[in-house]
Amino acid sequence: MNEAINSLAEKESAASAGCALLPLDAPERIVVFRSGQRSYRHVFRRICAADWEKFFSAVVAEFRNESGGYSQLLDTDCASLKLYSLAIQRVEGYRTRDGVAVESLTDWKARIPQNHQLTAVDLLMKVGPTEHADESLLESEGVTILLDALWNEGDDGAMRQYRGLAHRFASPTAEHRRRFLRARNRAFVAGGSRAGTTIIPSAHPVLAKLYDELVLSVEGYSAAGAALTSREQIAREMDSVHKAAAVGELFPTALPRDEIQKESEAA
Amino acid sequence: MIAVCTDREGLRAAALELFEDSLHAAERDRAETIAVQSADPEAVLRACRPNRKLSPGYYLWLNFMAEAIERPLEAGVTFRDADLSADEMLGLDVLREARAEFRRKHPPCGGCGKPLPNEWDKTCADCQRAAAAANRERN
Repeated sequence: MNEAINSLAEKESAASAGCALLPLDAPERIVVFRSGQRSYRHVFRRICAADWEKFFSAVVAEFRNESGGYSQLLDTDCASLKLYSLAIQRVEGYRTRDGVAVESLTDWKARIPQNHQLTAVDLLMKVGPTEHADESLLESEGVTILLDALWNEGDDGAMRQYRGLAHRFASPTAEHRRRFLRARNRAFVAGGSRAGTTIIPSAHPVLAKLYDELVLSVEGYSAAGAALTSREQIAREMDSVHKAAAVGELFPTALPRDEIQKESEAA
Repeated sequence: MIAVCTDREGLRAAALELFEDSLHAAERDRAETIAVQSADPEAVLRACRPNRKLSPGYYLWLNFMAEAIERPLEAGVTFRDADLSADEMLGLDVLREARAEFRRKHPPCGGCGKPLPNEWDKTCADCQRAAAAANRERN
């Protein structure tokens, strides 16, 4: 169901080819998607760093030892539902039996179908490395990461896609890499060292800090109607999910965790 | 709840397992080649996968220690005291102890230097075969 919803929502807006800047400080985050014959709009308030921090700290990443390998559980649903409840302001496309506004219903947020809530949060987080980036351009110094992202609604009612959002970083040192890897591999075990479940806490605070320390400039983003200029402004205004995506690309590595995931998939 | 990075005993057991696993790396490589041609590649791969006894978090942390700290140290990178946390120092200590124990149990082959299966062995099977073949040629 969610896949069907997503594939429709990810239709590019015609405006995506333009050079409009992604408005980080837009007072509302709007998600639009179609399901069946209907289209839905979910309007959130601006989602700040503290909101994302709560989200990432509620994500559960666990590994269990099982016969023949590991099983992995990555549960983002609870975190997504919490974020939805925290930041949603209104919805469009839903009806009530007596015709009153959805938002006037008692506990209206919980009445939105959960798969729609999850889809909406998933679309809030749609950001990833630019596909088919031009790799022929070499930097004289530093590292540039290019991202593509969905953000708010385009003129044609589909979500607007921004391509080639550039994050230029100072070259990371071995110490930066160590901090990144340390954050990604920190683990706790519940239920005993042998049969217990490994719990991986969120690395997000470290990723955000690394971003703020290393970023030099960005292109494609705006705040207060103008491109971001200073590092302080970038650190303050940049969306946390974009920070995490950019830093993740800055430290490409075949992490042991990825190896474990491969094992768990094979098992 | 156990913080993996401070559990010396658990880390030591996991490190010994990892070192022991390394003895069978060549066999696993061979099995992977065989698996491609077998009727049930997944079953073959499953059978040769290392049998890990501890929770995965121990191996994650040790891999981090090896990749991000021990290997750079071996390559000549220097860390100041302030750069390394107490649990990273503990991790290095654990790796050093486990490696020493592994080397005691699996001393290097007198011929090629590869770790031997038993502490009483002097040379590996390959070197013994090579020596026997050389003797036959001489005679």
